[in-house]
Amino acid sequence: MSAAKQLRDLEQSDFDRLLNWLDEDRERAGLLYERIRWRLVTILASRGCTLADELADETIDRVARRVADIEQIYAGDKAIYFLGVMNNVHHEYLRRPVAPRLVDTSENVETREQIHGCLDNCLDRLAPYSRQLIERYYAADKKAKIDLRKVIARELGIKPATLRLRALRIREKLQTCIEKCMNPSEARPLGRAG
Amino acid sequence: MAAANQQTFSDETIRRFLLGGLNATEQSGFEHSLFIDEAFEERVRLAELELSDDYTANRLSHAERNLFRQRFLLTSDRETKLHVSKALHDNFADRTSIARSGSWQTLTGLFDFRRHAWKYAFATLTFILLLLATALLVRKERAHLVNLPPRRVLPKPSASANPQRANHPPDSGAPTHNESSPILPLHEGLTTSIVLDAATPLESAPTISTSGEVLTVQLMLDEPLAESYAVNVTTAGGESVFAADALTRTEGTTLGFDVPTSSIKSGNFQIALTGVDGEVKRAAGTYYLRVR
Repeated sequence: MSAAKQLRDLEQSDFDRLLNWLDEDRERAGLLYERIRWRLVTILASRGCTLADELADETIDRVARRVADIEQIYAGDKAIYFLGVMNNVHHEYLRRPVAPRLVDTSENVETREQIHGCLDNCLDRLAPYSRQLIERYYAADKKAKIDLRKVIARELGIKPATLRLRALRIREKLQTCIEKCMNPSEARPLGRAG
Repeated sequence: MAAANQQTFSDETIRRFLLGGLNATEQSGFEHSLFIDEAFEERVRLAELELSDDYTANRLSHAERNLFRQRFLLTSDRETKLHVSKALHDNFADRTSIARSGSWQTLTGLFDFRRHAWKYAFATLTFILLLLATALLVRKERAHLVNLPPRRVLPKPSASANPQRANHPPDSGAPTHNESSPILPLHEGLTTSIVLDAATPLESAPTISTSGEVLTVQLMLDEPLAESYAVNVTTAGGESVFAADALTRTEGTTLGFDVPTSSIKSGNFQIALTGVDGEVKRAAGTYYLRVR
């Protein structure tokens, strides 16, 4: 059996063991899994890796296979362990020729409509204060943006940096809500195994 | 360590990391911090969203835009982020030019009719207004019908060339006026006073309905006039029901006196007038009266 075949055939039991190793609480383990995966993807992308998603998943699969061997002896930050494995995966990636990834930033009409519909729904779910803040924060064109945000911050009695942080946190909530809205059946991390 | 790392990397450095612009030393330290510092991780996560928003809003330089496409848009997750950035930009950015002032923007945010709540409220308001208008219309129509005078059929204003032909067709012959004249009503009313003339016979005497306690009778006197008068009211059978004397003229040739209505219930009555001049008495006239 080839290594590639072995990687594809990650068994559910290995994945469950991985989650259990991350945290005994399944909910917290799932959240931690998502955060680790995001870090891996972000770092790989920053390194210019055109297969960031695939290498991140490969990293997680390798860790999952090794949990049975290391869970009793590994001491330290578990997330850091992923970073080490990822470096190995990335080195292997650099040694093999990879076709450049073509990025298509356009979106079809259907997707566009779906996103706008989800955005409306998710905006309605926001608390009135959050909704008003995000609307005002984004209601700015290129030139007026800075001044307007200073005005908003002054009105709220906070620093512009604090305003930015609050607005981006709401923006992040919207992002999560929209992604769930567009893929309601997706139930990560359990859905990715196998 | 974590706090130190958080201070080490500025927002500008984070953006360079996302665009793949850090050198090897910076990259290594950055990656390690990303794995051990949760607060720093959040900063990077939010900066990733902001970078996507800035790209959509055309707030990146030309070089940054190129890096964004080549080094940032490498994952499906980031592509989704970019789509959401575009949706947000489409939704909100065009409102800026209208409302820059804070208070004005607050108001527009509150009265943004694109909100679902406003859509429902507007629909409800329209429905209520329609109902009210309908109710008002129906009520007004009813009031109009109640106050409407009976419809009158007016004769055509145009005169015919031959009115007789138009109104009396030649083949029908002259209409016979078969309807009998109605019996003229008696002179009735709530008469409390009556003027009588001695020249009026019983057949033409006025008929009255008594009301009140007394009937004021005014007699038209004939010449020669007397100093005083005496009256005697009798029934058709000659029974005296009322009498008075020493009556004097009230004005000119009129003599007035009151007769209790209880004395003259119904029937024909005769008033015999006697003129008195000193010791001399003479008949001054007879008056008739009918009571119903």
